[in-house]
Amino acid sequence: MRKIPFAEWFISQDVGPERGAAIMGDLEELAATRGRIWFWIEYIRTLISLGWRTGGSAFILAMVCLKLMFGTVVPWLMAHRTPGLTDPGLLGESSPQVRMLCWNLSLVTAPFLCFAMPFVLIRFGLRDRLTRLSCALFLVALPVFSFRPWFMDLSGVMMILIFAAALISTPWRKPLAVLAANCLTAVVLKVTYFMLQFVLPTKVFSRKIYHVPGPWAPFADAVTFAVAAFVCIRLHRWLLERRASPGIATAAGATYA
Amino acid sequence: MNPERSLGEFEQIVLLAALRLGDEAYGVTILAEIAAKTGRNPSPGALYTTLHRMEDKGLVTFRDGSPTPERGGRAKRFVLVTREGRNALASAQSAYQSLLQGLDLLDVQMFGGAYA
Repeated sequence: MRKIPFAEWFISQDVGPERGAAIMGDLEELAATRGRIWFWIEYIRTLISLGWRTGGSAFILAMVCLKLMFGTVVPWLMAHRTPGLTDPGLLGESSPQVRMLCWNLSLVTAPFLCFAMPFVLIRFGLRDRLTRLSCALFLVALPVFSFRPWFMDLSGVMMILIFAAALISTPWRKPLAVLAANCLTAVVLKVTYFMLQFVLPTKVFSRKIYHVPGPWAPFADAVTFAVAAFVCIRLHRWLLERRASPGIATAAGATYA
Repeated sequence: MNPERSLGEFEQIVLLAALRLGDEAYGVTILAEIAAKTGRNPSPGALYTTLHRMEDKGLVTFRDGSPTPERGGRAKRFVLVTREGRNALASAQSAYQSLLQGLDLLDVQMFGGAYA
């Protein structure tokens, strides 16, 4: 079979030139007995199975999930809110500070988790601790969009309990640190964008607070989440991925460097 | 067994095939070995995804061979199981062994016996 530079270049974008060349070599070697149609079918299948968990694919799919979430689930929850938030809820009206802490915590983290949860789920899989922690927090934080005091109180209290439990437990401390750093990055960027609206000229941003999120909001959101995704991947690699010793095992059981 | 290093079924199959093949373990031979010994025909995509994931975990590493004409002048990428990969495999297999103990499952299958 003749060489197909474009196909090799395309697969190399996903896995790197060395891996890409080896995969194309294997497929060509196998295609010698199985034919060209088999080659192209397996090429596409390989491309999909290798590509869908990369950072770029995970980011795009997570952004789609975020849009779907804010287009369907969140409006549905908000349609069932209690007018005026008058319900005494779980914490009652005796502890307004605790209540505000709980509500703010959930309201700040819930939109971020709508992106972070699908992103880490696609990028790292369900067996990863960061994914499990994100899923748990996402499920706990989601009811906050119902704007029912009872659910908001419960959501905040549950989040604090999960934070505390993760902080105490050694294996969950690092995933919590990664998630917290990501959330902080997203919040800082979002606040920066919000503040820029009052600093930069009116032509670029509207200075009226009721015009927030403003015309640049979708772009700012994409940049915010892209930076958060990048930070997430780097921190995950740094804190949660352990590298093995370089010793090689052979079938006979001997080990050489 | 450390849950962080627990292996999936296909990961174990790939590691065992790579260990059986020794210095000749690369994509094509691993697929052939799996097909010959298990009767399964995994897709190359599934194999590469698993190999790359195990490389990221430090369970396998790669060694480049020399280019060959049947591969369009591309080099083979031989799979080498690391010490950590071998330990993870041994740990997973010992878990299976301890679960199998006392069941006589293999004897029943080999000699055609059956439980009611």
